[in-house]
Amino acid sequence: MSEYCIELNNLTKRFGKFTAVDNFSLQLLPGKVYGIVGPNGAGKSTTMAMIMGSLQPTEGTGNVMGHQLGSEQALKILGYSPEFTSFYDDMSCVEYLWYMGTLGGLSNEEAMEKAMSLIKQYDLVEHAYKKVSKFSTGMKKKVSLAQAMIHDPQILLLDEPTANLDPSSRMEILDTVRKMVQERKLTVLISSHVLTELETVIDHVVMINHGKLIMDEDIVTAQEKFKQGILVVSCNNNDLLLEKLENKYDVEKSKDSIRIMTSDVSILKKEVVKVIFENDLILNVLHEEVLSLDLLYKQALEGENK
Amino acid sequence: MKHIFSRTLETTIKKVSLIVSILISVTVGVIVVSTNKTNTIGAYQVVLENVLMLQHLLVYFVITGFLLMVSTISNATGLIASEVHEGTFKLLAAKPNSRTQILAGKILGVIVGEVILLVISLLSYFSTVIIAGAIDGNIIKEMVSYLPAYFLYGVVIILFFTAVSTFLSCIFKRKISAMLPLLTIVVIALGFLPLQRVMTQVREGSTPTILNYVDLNYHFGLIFKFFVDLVSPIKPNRLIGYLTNLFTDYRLDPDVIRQEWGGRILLANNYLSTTVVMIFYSLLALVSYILSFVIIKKKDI
Repeated sequence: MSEYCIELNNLTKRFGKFTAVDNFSLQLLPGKVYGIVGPNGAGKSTTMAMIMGSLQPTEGTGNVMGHQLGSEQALKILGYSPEFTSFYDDMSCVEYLWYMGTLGGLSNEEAMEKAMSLIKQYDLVEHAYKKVSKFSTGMKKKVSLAQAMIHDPQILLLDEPTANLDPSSRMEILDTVRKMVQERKLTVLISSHVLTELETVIDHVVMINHGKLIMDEDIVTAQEKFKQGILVVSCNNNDLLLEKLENKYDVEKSKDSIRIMTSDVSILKKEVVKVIFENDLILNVLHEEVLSLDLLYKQALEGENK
Repeated sequence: MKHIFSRTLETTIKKVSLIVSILISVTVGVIVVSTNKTNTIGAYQVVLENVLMLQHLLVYFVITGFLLMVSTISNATGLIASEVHEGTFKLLAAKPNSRTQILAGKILGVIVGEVILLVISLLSYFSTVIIAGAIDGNIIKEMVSYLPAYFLYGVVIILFFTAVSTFLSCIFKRKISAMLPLLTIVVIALGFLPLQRVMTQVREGSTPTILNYVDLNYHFGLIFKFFVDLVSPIKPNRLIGYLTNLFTDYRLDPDVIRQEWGGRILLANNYLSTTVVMIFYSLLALVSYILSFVIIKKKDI
């Protein structure tokens, strides 16, 4: 059996003349958190929908732990929270989660038990018997996450779980995701536009543009690959340090640190330590600037568009 | 599947549907009772035939007609189209159930729900007629004896309209797009066509083409007559039957045709019989059910 829990081979999805996903191949290892990023209309949601079997691929194949995409066995393994979740107008939070649990194969009692436990876990106890359709966007997202988890899936697909949320709700949702991943060792494929938040959760980045895969890397490897060579330094006399280095390097001074750009960080590090030592300065901060997912995204897309 | 079935059943028998069904059926009962009050003078047999014909017509047009057809169409066209449009189907299909199971559960839910509404409607109607106490006991016995026939015809209507509505629900993206053509057909079949038949009959009668291929009212009338005849054959009635000729199987009753329509219609009905009509509509329903299952399996949500 394959080591991958999801394998997509040359998936293509066309809507009339428009190609939403173009010859897309991807392998997901179990226990990892994958972030799928890309501009609007890049094909992220279409890819997830094809994994769930909601959309039929025009070409290509795929499997979830050896089961055909969209098959009952594959759906048993997957939990899905779409970007826009709609709820039945007449159902309360408990009723909805119970219904989803029974559809997930749980008995009536198991589904009720699981629904109540998720309601507690997601801090929805006060609203358990209120109509879900009347919930705030943040609470709806939580219910959407809870329904995705109700049948204990091994792989979770989260499509824009933080979209249209205020910052505190976004943090709350991401904390919930983080907790779920830690507690259950789930494999997660998560898409989001808020890349700075996404990078705190994911350990693998999948970048997609115009339906094509442009990056599939471990986040550390990806950051290394696109590293710019920026050293952030701070000492007790930043002005003096700036004076000594600005003739040789491209230097930027910020409020309490200096950003120094170079093509070789190792030589720069030696030089900075030397200046600090020779001038009897006290070093407070010395670190290489890590490329944010945001910058990484911009650079990768720029490279793609060239 | 059983949870989807229960959920669909629950949404089919909504409070509003129940109240509307009971109110309309009780109103039909009141109409029959009050009409009979003004028409009690005459031989027992004439009174019986008149009240039975009125009952057949009102059950055919209202209880198993507009009420049942509109309710079935409204519920069945929403089975897939509404859920896809509102986005709830995405999560339904994301749970480990095959789409065949989902659709089967939904179809069964609507059918059973509509059958329950039909039973409630018929019982409300007959209860009103009995409780009112204005009709002779023997006549009421005769009237109630048609209950199984009306029920069976109602079930046929439910099965047929559920099939076609589900098929359209699988094709269209919105419930309203699936519902409108079917509601138009119902209005034509139960409203426009009877009017057209009455009017053309005054001149020289309907054409064989219209009767065979277009007159859905005549087709449904033949199916209705088939079930009613199992209890006791409908006799041509001077008062109401003459106006509509609704439940007259012209093929089997050439005298009526010669008398009222001429040989042209007799020729047309040589091959149009209740059996042919029932086979045609059964096949149409079967094909609709099969196509619905084929479409839903491959449908992009």
